[in-house]
Amino acid sequence: MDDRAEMLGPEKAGRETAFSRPFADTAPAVAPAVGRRRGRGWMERSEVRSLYLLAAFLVAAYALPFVIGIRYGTVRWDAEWLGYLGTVVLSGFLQGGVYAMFAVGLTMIFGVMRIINAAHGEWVMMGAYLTWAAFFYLGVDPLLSLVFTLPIAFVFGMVVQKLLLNAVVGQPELTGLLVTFGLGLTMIYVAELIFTTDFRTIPYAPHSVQITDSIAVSQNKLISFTMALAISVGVYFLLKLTRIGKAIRATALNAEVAMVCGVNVGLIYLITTGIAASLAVAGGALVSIQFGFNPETGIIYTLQAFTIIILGGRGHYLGALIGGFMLAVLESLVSLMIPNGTAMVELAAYGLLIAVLLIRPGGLMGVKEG
Amino acid sequence: MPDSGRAPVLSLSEVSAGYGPIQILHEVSLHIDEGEIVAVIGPNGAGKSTTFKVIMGLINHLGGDVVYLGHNLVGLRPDRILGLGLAYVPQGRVVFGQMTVRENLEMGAYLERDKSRIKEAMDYVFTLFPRLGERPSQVAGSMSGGEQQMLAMGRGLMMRPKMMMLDEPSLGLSPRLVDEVFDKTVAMARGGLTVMLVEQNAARALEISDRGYVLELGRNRYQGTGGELLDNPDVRAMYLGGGVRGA
Ligand SMILES: Nc1ncnc2c1ncn2[C@@H]1O[C@H](COP(=O)(O)OP(=O)(O)O)[C@@H](O)[C@H]1O
Ligand SMILES: [Mg+2]
Repeated sequence: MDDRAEMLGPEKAGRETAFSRPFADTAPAVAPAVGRRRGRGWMERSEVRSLYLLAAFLVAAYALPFVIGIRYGTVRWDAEWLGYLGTVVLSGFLQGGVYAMFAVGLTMIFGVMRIINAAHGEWVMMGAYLTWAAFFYLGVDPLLSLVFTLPIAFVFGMVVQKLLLNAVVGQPELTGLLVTFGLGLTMIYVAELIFTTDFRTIPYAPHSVQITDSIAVSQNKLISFTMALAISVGVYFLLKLTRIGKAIRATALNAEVAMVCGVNVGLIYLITTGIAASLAVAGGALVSIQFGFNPETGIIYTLQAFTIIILGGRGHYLGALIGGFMLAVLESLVSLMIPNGTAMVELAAYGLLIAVLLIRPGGLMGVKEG
Repeated sequence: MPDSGRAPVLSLSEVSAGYGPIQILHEVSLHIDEGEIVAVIGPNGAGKSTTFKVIMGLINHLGGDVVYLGHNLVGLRPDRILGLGLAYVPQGRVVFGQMTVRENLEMGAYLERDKSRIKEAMDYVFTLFPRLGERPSQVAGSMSGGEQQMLAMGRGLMMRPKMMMLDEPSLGLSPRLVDEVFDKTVAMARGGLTVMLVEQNAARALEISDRGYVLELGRNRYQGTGGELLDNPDVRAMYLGGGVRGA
C-alpha cells in the first residue's frame, strides 16, 4: 500500500504512461511538488501542440483506408458506394458503444489497482458463452439473460479479485500482467474443453432497419448499441454520484488517503473487479448476438480494449468511451476499403496501438508530457 | 515529565514498526492528553511520518501497544480507527485532485450516514476555512498549495474527530500561509480537538505546543514541554539551528 502512495507522489508525475492517472480530467492527481506550481490554465502551449498532433494523427489514421482503397479501386464515389460507406461507418459507430463499454472495465481495474488485466477479452468471451448457453440450452432471450449473467459476472469478478488480484496489488505492473495473462489462457482452455473450438453464433434480430434510402443497419446492432449506451451511462453516474462510486474514484486517485477517509479499500477492490467483469460479460452478450465467436475470440477483444485505453489516454472514463468509437469507426473503414478487409480489421487495432505508442507513449488524449 | 492531570487520549508504548522487512521505529513511546497540542520533531527520515502510519494501521506493526481511548489499535483497519474518532492528515497536502472541494469534504465524511451531520460538519469546516466555503465547486487540484492544505485539514475534520494527527501541514507554504496554518491548528485545538503535529518547522511547532517529542533514527531522543525543548541547548543546536525558521 505504501508503495502505491509513493507511486502517486509528485516525482512520479514526470514519467506517466497512458495507463497512469485514473479517471483524470485535467488536474494532477496529487498536489504539485513543493515550490513548483503547475499551470492552471486548462490549456498550455504544449497541450495546444498536442491537440494539433492528435488532429493530424487522426486525419492520417482515417485517411489511410481511403488511400489504400483508392489504390485498389475499392473506393468509388457513386451514390451506391457512398450508401455503403454510410452504412459501414454507422455500424462501426454502433459497435463502438459496445467496445467502449468493456474497455471501461479495463480502465477501472487499472485505475483502482494498477493492474493491467490481460484476461479482459476472455471475460468478454465468457459473456458470449454464458449468453449462448442460456440461449441454446434454456431458450432464454440473449438480452433477458443479462438479468442473471451480470450477477454471475459480478461474483466471478469478486472471486478473481479475492483469489488472484489481491495477491498482486502493489506489485510491479508486470506481475499483474502475467497473472492475468495466465488467467486468460486458463479460461481459453476451459472454454475449449466445454464448448470445443467451433465457432458459435446466436441468431438474434438480424433484420435490417432502413435509416435513409441508402443506409441500413441490422436491428441487433441498434439494440446492442442502445444497451451498451444505457449500461455505460449507468456506470458513469454510479461512479459520479453514488457513495460507493465516489469511494472507487477516491481509491483510484489515492488509495492511502481513501483509507484514512474510512474507505475499506479491500471492499472497493472487490466491487471494482465485480463491476469490470460485469461490463465485460455484458459486452460479450452484446457481441455474441452480432458475431460468431470461439474460445480464442477474446484475444482480439483484449487487444481492442488496450487500444481504446491508449487512445483514450490516462484510462479516463470518457476517454475510454471516445476511444471505443474511434477504434470501431476506423475498423469499419478498413473492412470496407481494404481488399480482404475483414481479415485486416484486427490489424487496424494493432496498427493504431503501435502507432500511438510510437508517437505518444503517454496516449493520445489528455496526458501532458515534458 | 510534567503530568497534565488529564486522561491520555493516545499512548504508544515501545512501538516498533517498519515497511516490509525493514524496521524503522524502535520502541517509540509517547502519549497525548486530552486537549493538548503535542509536536513531534526530528530530522528528515527520523520516522515521524512512520509513527503516524503505524498508529493509523497503514503499515507493519512489529511490537508494542497503541492505545486510543481504551481501544487497542493494533491490527485495526484504518477505517475502524477513523471511526473511533482519530483523524489523520497525511504529509504533502494530499487532496483528491480531480474532485471538487465539496466532494473532498464528503469523502472525509465517508463513514457518516447522517446527511444533517455531514452538513453541520461542512458548515463548521467552512466557518473555520472561509476560503473553502467560497469555492465548494472548485476542482481541488487547481487550488493553491495553502488552500489544498486547508482542504486536507478540513477533510480530516469532517468525521468530527476527537483527535487529529497532522503531518507537516506547513511544508512548502509561504510564510504568510505558514502563519495561517498554525493559527488554524490552534483554533481547532481551542474547539476541543486534541492535536498531534509533525513539523519540520520545529520552532514554530513548539511555540504552539503544550509538549513535544524529538525522534531520531526511529527512537525517542528528547521530550518535554514546548518551552523546555525550545530552551534545551542540544535541541536548539540540532533542530532550531540559530533561530532559523523551518528546515
Ligand atoms: N514506503 C516506504 N518504504 C520503505 N521505507 C520507507 C517508506 N517510507 C519511508 N521509509 C523510510 O523510513 C524512514 C523514516 O521515514 P519517515 O517516517 O517518512 O520520516 P520523517 O521523519 O521524515 O517523516 C526513512 O528512512 C525512509 O526512507
Ligand atoms: Mg515525514
